[in-house]
Amino acid sequence: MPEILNVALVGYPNSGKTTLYNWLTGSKYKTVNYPGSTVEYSKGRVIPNLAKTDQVEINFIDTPGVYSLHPQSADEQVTINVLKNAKLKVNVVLLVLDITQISRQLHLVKQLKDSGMPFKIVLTMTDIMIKNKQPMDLQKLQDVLKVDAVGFEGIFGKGLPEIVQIFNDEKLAHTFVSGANFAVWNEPKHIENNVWVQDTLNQLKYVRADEKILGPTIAVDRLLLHPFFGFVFFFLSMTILFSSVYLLAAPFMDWTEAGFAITGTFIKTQIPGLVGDFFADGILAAVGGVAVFLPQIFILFSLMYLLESSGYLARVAALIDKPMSVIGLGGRSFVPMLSGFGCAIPAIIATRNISSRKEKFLAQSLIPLLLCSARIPVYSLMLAFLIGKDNYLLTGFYMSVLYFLSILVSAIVSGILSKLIYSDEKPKLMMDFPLYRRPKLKIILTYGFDRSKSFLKEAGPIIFVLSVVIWFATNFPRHDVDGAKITKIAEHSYAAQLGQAIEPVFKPMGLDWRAGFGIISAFAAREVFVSSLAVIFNATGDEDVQEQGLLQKMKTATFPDGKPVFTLGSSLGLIVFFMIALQCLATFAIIRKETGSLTAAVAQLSISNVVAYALAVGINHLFS
Amino acid sequence: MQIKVASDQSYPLKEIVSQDPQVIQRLRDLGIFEGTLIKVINIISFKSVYVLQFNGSMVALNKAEMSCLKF
Repeated sequence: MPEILNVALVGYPNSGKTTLYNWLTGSKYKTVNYPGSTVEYSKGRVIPNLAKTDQVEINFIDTPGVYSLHPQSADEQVTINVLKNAKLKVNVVLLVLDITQISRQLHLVKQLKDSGMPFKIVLTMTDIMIKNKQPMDLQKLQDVLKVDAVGFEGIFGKGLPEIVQIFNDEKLAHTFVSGANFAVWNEPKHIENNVWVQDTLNQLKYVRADEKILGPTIAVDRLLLHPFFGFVFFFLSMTILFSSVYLLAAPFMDWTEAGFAITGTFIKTQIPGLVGDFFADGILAAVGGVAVFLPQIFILFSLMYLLESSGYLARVAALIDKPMSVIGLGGRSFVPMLSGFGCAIPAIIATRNISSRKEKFLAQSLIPLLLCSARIPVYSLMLAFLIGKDNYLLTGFYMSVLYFLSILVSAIVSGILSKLIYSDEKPKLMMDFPLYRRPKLKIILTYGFDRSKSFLKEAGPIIFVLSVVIWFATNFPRHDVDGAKITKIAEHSYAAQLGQAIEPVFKPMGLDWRAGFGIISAFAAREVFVSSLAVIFNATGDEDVQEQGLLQKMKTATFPDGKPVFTLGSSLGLIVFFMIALQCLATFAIIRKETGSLTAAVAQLSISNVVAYALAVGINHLFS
Repeated sequence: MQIKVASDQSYPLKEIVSQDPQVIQRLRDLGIFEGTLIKVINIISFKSVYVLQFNGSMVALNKAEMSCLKF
């Protein structure tokens, strides 16, 4: 049995820990260019070709960034908990220092020395120093600090074997950092540490090249942080981001849809009967219903990553700090909120980076209201139904309107909540500005692809199971209608029986049991709404519309008295319902976990769903 | 609170004063100490956020945090 060596990567936010962790373990965690992007720890084994010995098995643990060993926010506390956690058994710390910021990050070396924890040092961003003809003398650094130190370059992963080499020491495997001295922060000690830092820098003969390194970043900031043009650029970049989600994706969506339609027809001709129907109208219709939106998901995540990796987001957080204060938030809430446009779950976890409890609660409450990627399929379907599927420009415009409406609704909610919750705690900003970095197209596209894959992977099993259940529920029992038309089967199906029981709830929204069924299934995941409708309408549509798309089936869907189901009122109501309702159960679970309060989570679930229902009913009646 | 600093000007820090020890700790963590030469790069967000440059770093502070720095 090899000895197990657990190495915790510790360092300032944005110092390159996650990049290093990904290289060492072969993981694909998102690395971005703003402080506070990692809020949870991850553990992974070193990749086999880097492991030099069978005697020691090295595991690396990536931790959220810390400014010191005295935590102030929940994400920083995660790091300290990792070091203290008896189960994780951390043997040694790998302190990650950004070489361009060493003059202020060096105090972590002193804190680690004082704590008695065994540690080694890795210097990141070495490429920037080399580019500016300022290479660090590693030997001198090791001599002065009396700690093993290695350089690492994140773009091509240079220095990985050397990093692993310093841990091939079996003695380390028998030492745990638990029991280290985590003294309470005090200012005199911190000032004393700074004297040590200055003395160490003098010994290293360290000369900064601020103008060379910071010059280009400051020049770009003159434009992007301009009192007027800064806001123009911000609104422009957000508008391009959100409208691109529809406009750029449109042709790819058409091709995907056509591909699934051709495959469905092929399956039905090759496998006639119930089995063919099951595969074509059940499985393929459900998967295709969601897969068609993958181009939009890909574009959304790729463009968001483009912004994240450039270093621009930290600037935006500072730029909109004052406007955000009107609704009780600070600029630090912006990045988790932007992440909420992708998915509410990581966004709510990202609020750990906010130190003010009131601000954190407000952010956690409004993030579920932002237009997340799971709502895109629902809105795209409803906009295509209302406007027409070929009107890309108008649909793109209305999609942007929906994005801004979701921001407006969440701002109103935050404004109301901030008035109701008393706190003398003021939102803190104190935001580090990273250097601007040129985003790498390959990395952006890889990230967009990975996120699209995981979107399909996460939604896929739910869609598959629900599609099978819904298809069976809409096609059985068949014994008393044997030989009858498929519509007759559907009318007597289990789904219809259940649907008729729940229809009174959805009728005030102007919807029949089929749409109601879709809404209920969307509580598993919002995007399931589209696939559920696709399966239900395939089973219950008239024979002459069986071959038509979902949109056509929605247009011809009627109540038994002949009135249309999807009218302007019921469709707008449905959009508003999805805008406000907290349907995603995973989001509910994460709110419960992050707020630490079941009452808060249940209150948010109940209030948002009741308000969503009431508004949908009101809108339906208004437009009727 | 009135903060008398201007863009593109540098100021040596005399003192950090705050009732909130967490604010003092974080300012120290960011590398702000007495004697540090701090350059005000920009004042943004409706003149409520100060972008500072010191020791090779850039940091943004809101008005309340900036008022803790005495020049």
